[in-house]
Amino acid sequence: MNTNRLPVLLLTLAVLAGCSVAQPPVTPTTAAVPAALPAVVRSPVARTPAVGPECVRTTSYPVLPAGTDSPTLDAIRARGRLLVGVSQTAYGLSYRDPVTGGMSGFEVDIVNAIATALFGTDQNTVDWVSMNATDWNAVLTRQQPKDHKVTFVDLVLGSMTMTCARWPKWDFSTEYLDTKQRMLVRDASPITTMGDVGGRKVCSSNGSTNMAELTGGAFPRQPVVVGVDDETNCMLLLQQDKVDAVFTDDVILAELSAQDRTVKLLPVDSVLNLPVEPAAVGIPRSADHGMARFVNGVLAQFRGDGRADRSTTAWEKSYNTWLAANLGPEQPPTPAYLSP
Amino acid sequence: MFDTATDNGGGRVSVADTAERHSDYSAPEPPPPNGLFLLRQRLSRWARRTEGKLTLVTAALVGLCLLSGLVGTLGITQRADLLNAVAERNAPLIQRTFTVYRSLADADATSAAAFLAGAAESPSVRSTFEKDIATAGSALTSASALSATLPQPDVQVTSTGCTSSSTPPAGSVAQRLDLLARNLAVYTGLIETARTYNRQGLPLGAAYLNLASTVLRRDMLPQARVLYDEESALVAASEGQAAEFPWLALLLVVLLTGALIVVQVRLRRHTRRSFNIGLLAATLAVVAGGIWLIVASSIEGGAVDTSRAVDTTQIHVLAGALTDAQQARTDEALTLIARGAGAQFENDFTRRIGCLDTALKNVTQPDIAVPISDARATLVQWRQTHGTVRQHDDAGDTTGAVSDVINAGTGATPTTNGLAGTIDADLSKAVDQVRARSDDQIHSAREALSGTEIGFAVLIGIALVSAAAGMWPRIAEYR
Repeated sequence: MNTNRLPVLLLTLAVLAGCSVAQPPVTPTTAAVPAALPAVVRSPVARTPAVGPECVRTTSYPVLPAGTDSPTLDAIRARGRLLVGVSQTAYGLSYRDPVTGGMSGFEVDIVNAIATALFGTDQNTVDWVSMNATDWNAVLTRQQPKDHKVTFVDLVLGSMTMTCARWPKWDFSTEYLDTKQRMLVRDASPITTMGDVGGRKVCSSNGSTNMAELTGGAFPRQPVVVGVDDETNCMLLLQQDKVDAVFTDDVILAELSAQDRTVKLLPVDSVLNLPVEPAAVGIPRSADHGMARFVNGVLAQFRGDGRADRSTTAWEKSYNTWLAANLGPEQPPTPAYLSP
Repeated sequence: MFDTATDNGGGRVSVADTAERHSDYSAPEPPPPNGLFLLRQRLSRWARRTEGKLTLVTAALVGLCLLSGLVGTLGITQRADLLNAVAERNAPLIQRTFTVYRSLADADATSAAAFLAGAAESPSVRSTFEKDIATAGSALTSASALSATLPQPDVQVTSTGCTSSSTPPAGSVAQRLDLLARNLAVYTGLIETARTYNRQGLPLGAAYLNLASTVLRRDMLPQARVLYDEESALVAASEGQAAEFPWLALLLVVLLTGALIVVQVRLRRHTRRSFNIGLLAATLAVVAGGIWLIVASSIEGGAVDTSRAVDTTQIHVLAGALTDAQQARTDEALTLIARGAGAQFENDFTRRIGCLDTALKNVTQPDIAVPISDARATLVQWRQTHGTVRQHDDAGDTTGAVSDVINAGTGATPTTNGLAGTIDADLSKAVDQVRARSDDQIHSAREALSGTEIGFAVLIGIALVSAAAGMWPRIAEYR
């Protein structure tokens, strides 16, 4: 009996005794470079035809006369702080200065003007809430999205375009900057005009009007669209050679190119017929539009509406400090108001 | 065995008789007296003689000796090999992977804190980060060297600490280590880019820092975590196998002893000699071998069981607690960095701190009671200070909140970063203490086994020779 089982037993023992298979080491030939991708990258973003013709509406509510009561303003004054949603990485527009730790930029100057008008000072009266275009809809319509909690804010600035699609959902102030949609490519890129991007990877931020143009068929030959949550991440992808171009507002692109001397802005392509992008402050809707009208008053001051000499306005001063060097000289936009 | 076919109950009808009877009939069956048949005839005749019987008994005894010797020795060798692997490769590999995990998590927390402090980072922050990266790199290299000789883990993995929401990606140990090494280069590159942009006052630096943290948290930490969990499970499995009592070997030893005794009793009855010195010596040798086997295995098994219990109930829990403390610290900084979008980090912070608290409550070992109670006291303080951080941040006092976390100045109150560091130090102390105890147990287990396989083999060998020597004169009497 034992003699029959012995070979089996011996075999079993031999296997147990350590004939375990050592794994082969990974041979270091040419290892693949791991891709350093931002947290949110959608690629390719599906083509979605624009719903109706894209239109721009630049008219806003008339200025709130001084001394007029508004429940929205009262609530903010009682709170003593203004909650503002901005990007913290848009160089020149609104960014956190890594050296001082403070917020700086053209849009920050506008917010400080609003805070001063509200509280008498902009010192320690503003809470800067970091957000990008993806969050706008939820924040400004005061919805609670499922995936993450959003802080409700009083204002949102972020080169936000006044469009007919957005007007029904929230209020806009009057326009504070005229922007055009342009494209950023590497110096050595074969792309020479914005129409050349058919089949190439073009990056833009999710939720922006630029993304709507990219996916809505504004280009004669469809590019491969890459969507991220912040235009700055597009720049990282461009620097890593993961995309061929970044498509967004010229003000953002000019400030991105100012941080890297090996990229260039493509000229405006009239063939594409892209709409201009008037930037305004996004404000959650209230029945009396109190906040929008108040901000319009501050912006009228800021732009120096009606003044003959525009060169001394706060707008010019701020524009020249932050944007003129990379974007060229510019005049403050002319506001348009709804009839009261 | 051969004659079962013709064995009908009581009396034996031999194969030879049957063959002869068959040969009386001229037909119809053809006579089958081939070579094998003749051999069978001879064997069965020989086996019925006393000389043959004695030879068979001797052969059986020798066979049984060989079998028990083989089973016993191989079993001991196998357990000793498992313990050697645990002590010399698995346990150090676990320590290395844990070091990788901890240094990476610390690097993440440090760079987040550095970002809070602004571009003009302090030399101490810079050196902490550099030390983390160097430690992680060095631990990765030695882990790779260790893993090259290890079998592929094929074990049920139980995660320590707060379970991660991300699913563990598939891959071998070598693949994971390779991926970590490649990503470490990418991560350091991103951090240095961020640092350079920060120094120029450009916001691309913040974007690069964010990207670096994403790469670390998404692509690296889960790999290191899985590696740690897999190796821990592998050690637990190895220890489980090494602690098994050698029942089969013991059964064979008992059978052998019984057979030796039976043979001696029968021989005494037939030969009127009171003792067969050879068989007596063989019996004594087998009994001695059996006792050695039992004692060594019991000591070894007990020690391994203790070590395993320490591993699973103490080290695992403490290691989980350590990583939770690290992640909570990063969460706290990221909440401030991300500001409005920081609610997810605050939620994660609350979860991690909860896990840390539970883990600390579950550690009841008396010899590490001091560092654990220290850590618990510090945790209470951390929770209080975190409340202050939230108050300041919610009230819009970002500067105050940042100061509560990293205290760029020189405040008297401890910062949450400092408190997290204290907890980390306490828990590290406890882990080291407990790990040393576990290593001690494995060491005693190895000592208990050392020499056992040779001793057992020699004793059984002595038994074999003695039994054969004791039987030989009895067989010779019939020649």
